[in-house]
Amino acid sequence: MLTPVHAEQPRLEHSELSREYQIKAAMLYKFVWFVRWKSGDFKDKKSPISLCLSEPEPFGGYLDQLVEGRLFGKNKRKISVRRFDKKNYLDHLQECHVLFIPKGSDVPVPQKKGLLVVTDGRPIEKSSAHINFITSGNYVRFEINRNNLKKSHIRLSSKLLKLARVVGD
Amino acid sequence: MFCCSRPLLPISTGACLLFHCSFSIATPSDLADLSLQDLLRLEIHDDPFPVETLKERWTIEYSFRQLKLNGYQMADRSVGLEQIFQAAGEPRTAMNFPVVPIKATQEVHTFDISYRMNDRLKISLSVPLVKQNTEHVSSVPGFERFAIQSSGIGDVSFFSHWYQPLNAHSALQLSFGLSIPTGSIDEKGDTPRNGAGTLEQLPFTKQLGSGTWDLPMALSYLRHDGSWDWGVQATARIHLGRNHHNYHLGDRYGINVWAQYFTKSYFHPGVRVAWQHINPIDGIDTELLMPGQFRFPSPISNPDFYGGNNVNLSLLMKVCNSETNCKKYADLEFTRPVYRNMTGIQPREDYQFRISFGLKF
Repeated sequence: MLTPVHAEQPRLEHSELSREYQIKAAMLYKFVWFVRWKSGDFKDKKSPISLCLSEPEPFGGYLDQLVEGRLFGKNKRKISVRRFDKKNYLDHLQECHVLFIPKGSDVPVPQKKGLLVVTDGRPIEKSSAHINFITSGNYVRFEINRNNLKKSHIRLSSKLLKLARVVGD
Repeated sequence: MFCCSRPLLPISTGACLLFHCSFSIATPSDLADLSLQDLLRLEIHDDPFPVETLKERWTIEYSFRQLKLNGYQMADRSVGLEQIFQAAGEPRTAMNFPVVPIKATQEVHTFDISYRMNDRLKISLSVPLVKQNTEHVSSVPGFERFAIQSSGIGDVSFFSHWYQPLNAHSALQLSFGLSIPTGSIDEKGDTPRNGAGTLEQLPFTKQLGSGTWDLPMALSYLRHDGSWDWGVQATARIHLGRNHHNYHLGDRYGINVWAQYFTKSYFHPGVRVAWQHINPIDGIDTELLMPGQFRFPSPISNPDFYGGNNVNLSLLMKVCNSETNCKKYADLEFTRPVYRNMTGIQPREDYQFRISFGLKF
């Protein structure tokens, strides 16, 4: 007599990007919405908001897929993802609204008004970045340096500050 | 254990509220739709067998299985019909029979529906429709060659499957079910027992169900290595009590190992080797007995001629609707016994074949 199969064989869905960096990519996208951008931060009403990644960036094409088709703000700006070699990224900073510096990168953290700098694994107290990704147990967290925000004239929503570990005055 | 140990914030209305926070999301768009609060609740531990997107909670599957029996076997060797058939004029012994099934086909159409409650727990319902046809030879006049059919709903089963990742490459899955005796054990047919034109109780393996409440269960170790998924599974099926014909089918225990190749392709081949031990039937259906010294007219009427040990080899093929996901799929499985050591005289299994079609939504 045939016996029903009791338990299925689970099917693996391959993901080329680890879950940690999928979450960080999504958070990076979300940070854009918590910054009080000024009109002077953009060339015109239709210019995109740019997420700049310093190589070697860890997201592959995941961040590009994540922002594809999504529009930001009341002007419905496109969100573009740009990549720069660590040797020449400083030349392109004026095109960026958010700069992500990956873990293990030795590039210096730039200070530019209106540029939100996000690092990965660099202690925020010792860095001039504004936001730094950390992990706590099995979760992604982020920390914010208020002093660095003031120096760069960047204003973050209090809602974002409430979600973060905050250092500085 | 798998969810947020310390809520960071008041509960949000995102997906984490309903579905716990440790799910793995397949598409970037899924993550982009979550709130930042929800993202903070996601566990980063890599799930070796991540659940497909939360949007695909339901799975429906139709399966067709066929089992062919041909010839006979005693212990681990084949026996010829002439060794077990009591031809006209031959003396009856304990090891020959006036009625012998020579060929049997069992087909089961199964309808399964499952619902993933969260990334750890899935529940499912399985409804089988069974159809059997058995050809016999007999030394009883008028029944030299005859066939018996039975068909109808089998035993409906409910399952719960609990999935627990161990690390980035492996996981455990515990499946626990309840099989309800919805399949008839009162199937009758025109057999030589009382002559032509009467219907008699059919033997155990011709019935559509077990007649008992059963507990099917399985514990699986699953592993993902590169392009290969593989695993080891221990299975059991325990029959509770006896049915209203005063028997229960033999409990089953087994172990199987399998491996399947998953790469960016529509086709995913695999292989499985399964060992199973089946106990003899406990109890006896007195309606199957004949008067006199030799009470079993057919080997399949004898409850002691049931069960044993077998090892099967299966070739697997999964065909998916795209190279990167399996929302729609077909599963094929072809099984041949490679070793059988059966208790008493039993029909010999030729092969099993299964094809399933599934849809996740």
